[in-house]
Amino acid sequence: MGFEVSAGARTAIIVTFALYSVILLGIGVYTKKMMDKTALDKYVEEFYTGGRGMGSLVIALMIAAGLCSAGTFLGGPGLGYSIGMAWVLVALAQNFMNFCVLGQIGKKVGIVARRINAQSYIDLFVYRYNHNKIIGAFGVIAIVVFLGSYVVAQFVGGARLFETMTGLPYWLGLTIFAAVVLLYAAFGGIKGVSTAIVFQGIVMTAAVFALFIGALAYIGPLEPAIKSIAAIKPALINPWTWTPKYQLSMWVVFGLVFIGLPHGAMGALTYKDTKAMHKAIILGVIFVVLWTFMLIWMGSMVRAVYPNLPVPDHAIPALAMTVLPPWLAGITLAGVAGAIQSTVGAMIIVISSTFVKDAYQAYINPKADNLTLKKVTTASTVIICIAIFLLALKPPHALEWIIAFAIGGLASAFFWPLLLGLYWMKANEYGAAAGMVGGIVTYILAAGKFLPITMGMHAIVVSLLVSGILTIGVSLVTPKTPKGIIMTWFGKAYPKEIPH
Amino acid sequence: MNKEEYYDRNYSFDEIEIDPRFKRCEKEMKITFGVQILFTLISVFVAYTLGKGPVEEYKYIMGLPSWWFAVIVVTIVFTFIVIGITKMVFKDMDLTDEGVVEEKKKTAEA
Repeated sequence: MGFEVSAGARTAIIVTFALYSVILLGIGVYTKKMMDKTALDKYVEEFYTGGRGMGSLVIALMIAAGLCSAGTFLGGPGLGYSIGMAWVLVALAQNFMNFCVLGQIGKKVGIVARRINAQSYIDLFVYRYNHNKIIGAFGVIAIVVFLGSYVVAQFVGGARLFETMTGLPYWLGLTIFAAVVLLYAAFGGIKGVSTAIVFQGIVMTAAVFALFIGALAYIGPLEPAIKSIAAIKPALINPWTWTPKYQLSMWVVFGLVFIGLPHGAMGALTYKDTKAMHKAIILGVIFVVLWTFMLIWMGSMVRAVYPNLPVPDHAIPALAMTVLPPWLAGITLAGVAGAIQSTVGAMIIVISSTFVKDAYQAYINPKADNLTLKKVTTASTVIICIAIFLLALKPPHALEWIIAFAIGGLASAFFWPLLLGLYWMKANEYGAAAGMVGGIVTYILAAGKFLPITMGMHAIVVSLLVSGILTIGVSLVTPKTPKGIIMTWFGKAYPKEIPH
Repeated sequence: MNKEEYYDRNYSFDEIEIDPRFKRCEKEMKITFGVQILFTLISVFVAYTLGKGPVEEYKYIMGLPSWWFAVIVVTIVFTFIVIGITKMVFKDMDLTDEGVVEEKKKTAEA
């Protein structure tokens, strides 16, 4: 492990973590009661998009904490530890994620989603692209496979950390993690998830500040500390560890393609009005800049404290155990748990909404009544949680690899079809289908090193290029999107209903 | 709108009167991409210019290697730019059917 956890510290950590979990259970019970009071005909709408009435703090944290996961709290600092400052520089790319998501698609999605009553990210594709079966099916599969594996990886990371810091078994950590999320996501829907996210965001912020201040006080003057890291390996302090070309391609992965990530784009579907949206940008930017800067940089600074950690992902936990009193170290574990659970909660809502709206309602039972829909919504969310729990019990290896693969795969598929669908009238279902399939196939070929086509950059650059060219090229040589749809997505006047 | 008109694929885009709100959305989208791309290029340029050369010869500012210090300054400056754009450039609009782009300052003068 490379660092020590004393028995007294373990007790303090367990107590803090238990307290954190109990508060979340309370949020789950409370939002379940609220959802039980919801009228049946509004249930699905309330469950997935909160009736589009969410305020600025909720939206800010839904995007920020939804996108900042184990990657920001464990894997990211771990790479800061093992690769050094070249990676810490990349992490800054995510600073303005709230600005990017809401500035790029927030208002347009806000208006269109109200016109077409979109409840899921994939809904946007299905409606814009003329209910094309390939796009619908492909979207559902991409969401389930990529987000599903991402969620599993998140749970595995959280449960491993729980095991390391408490000395309690892996399965117990996993069970607590999953049970808490199950309760507030499956019964509270987006309200449960978003209420939990506000609490988790506050805990995360407290943990980050405690850790940052504690670490700076412990490490002392920075210049000798950084020079001692440079003495271990100069590359740890040098941005040139990565070529500028590779560095820029990493900024594309972590800075330019947020709207291709369904769990990040949820904020655009749920906010109340543009005033709340603007505030959500400002709040979110402040949260993410602080988290990213403090955590990822501290990950690299851990080298000055522990020069040889066998598991780089333990950089932040090791730091917490060393520089903080036990109960504050417990808050750090709770902060990591919060980062993981907030992402997982948002993702489970995305997976569930995709399944219910774009698979069940679209293919299996288009005429489902409200009561059936309510039951299917709850049941599918519970089943998703349980399936993820079972997969995480036998964890797949290489946490960070799966995360990188999931983000790249989703972004390669969704980025251009969403962006062009929103802002380019000529984009049609043929182009979008070609772009989605082409993007994801190219990404797998490039990232899996089946074809040497990355040109010294992250695989996403070439897959985005292919996806963009296919979406545009195929759209140009195929018929226009039906007029009614273009009127709905671009026009002042639009058909209020799709004629049958 | 009947089924035939709705699913018509032989029409001119000029027949559709574009909602002015969507024009505004497109403009804000372009501004957002522009700011993020500028932030990317400046950060990477600053880091790779000041961070060039042997690590032993790095200059330190406030205990930090000068390239990292400069990158932090860039982040702080862009944080203010992003907040400024959100507050002053982005426009409020009603998202429902009757919505228009709100001209906040002009209405105050009028």
